[in-house]
Amino acid sequence: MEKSAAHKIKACEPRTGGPAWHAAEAEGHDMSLIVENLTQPVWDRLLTHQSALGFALMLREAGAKLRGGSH
Amino acid sequence: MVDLTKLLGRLIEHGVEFVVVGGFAATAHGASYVTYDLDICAPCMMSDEANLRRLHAALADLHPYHRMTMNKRTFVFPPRTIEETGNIYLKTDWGQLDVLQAIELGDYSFAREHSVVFDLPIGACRFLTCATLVESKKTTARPKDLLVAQQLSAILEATPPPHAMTPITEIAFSTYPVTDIPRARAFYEGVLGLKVTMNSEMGENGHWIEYDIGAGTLGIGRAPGWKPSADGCCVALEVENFDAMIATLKAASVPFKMEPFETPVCHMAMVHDPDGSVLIIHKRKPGHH
Repeated sequence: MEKSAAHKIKACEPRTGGPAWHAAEAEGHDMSLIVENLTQPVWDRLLTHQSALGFALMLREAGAKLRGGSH
Repeated sequence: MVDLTKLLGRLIEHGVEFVVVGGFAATAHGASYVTYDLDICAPCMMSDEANLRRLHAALADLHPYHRMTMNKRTFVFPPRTIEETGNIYLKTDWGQLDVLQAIELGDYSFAREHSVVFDLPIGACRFLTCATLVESKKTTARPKDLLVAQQLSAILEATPPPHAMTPITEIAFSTYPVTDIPRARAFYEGVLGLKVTMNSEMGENGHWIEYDIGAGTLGIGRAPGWKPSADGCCVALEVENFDAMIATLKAASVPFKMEPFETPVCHMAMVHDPDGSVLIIHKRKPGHH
């Protein structure tokens, strides 16, 4: 277990530009989203995810209603 | 309403023993994918009664049920059958919760050993480490897991390890391994003229001697498995009179790895101690620090 990380994890400035970073970029990942996440504390990342999940579920529900209405 | 952060808070609040794994752990480490459920690795076999009880208490008012069962059986405590323990796939009012007794790389003990604790406003919580998540996703090797692994590999590379968050404040001491303490002392004290500031004998386990020099400390020591090397790191000793020290070393027949030479800022030479380790004899020129 990484005991030293038991403190509050603070946001950090990511050291972008390494081979794995470039590989992910080349595969089409939007790395600006990753940078945005990494500059947030862990809790804020989870809250951002919750908002995105809420939006995704809303879209899913709207899509289901639309399909239901077309039958 | 689906709210995985609230669901996580419930588990923490009720003292459930678990490690967050899967997509939600990837989110905590900075991945940008949206996950629809909360995956945890937790001891929830029939024999893990206390943890099962806590899990049930955490979810009781959220209408939990075993979503993989034919008749959507309610999640109850104690479990009715052994099938309701181990891997438990639940649906609750706040979202899906998958309780896994193991991950691809190992059991709960493994996951706990390879976890990191994040202090969240809802309490301290264990998450699988980013490196272990990468390995786990690569092992699963489903296309969606490999995509997440790509992001996590980039994150792992771009973020400093936890120890890097603690600044290193000074060099505590520099040290050389030696094999023969009396011979080494004859050189370090007899030839170089260093004064002993600490001498600790540890019997079979070794011997440690320190010499304070200015603001620093040079140590020599003997310990099982610690061997001298002429190619290792070396210490540069600042001297008052460079020529006089060189003459002393020559008179003592100390072998030179590099004869005295001059740079724009200093004079230096490299010599071997009796074990072959390299020391630099150094003298800064006036006006250089």
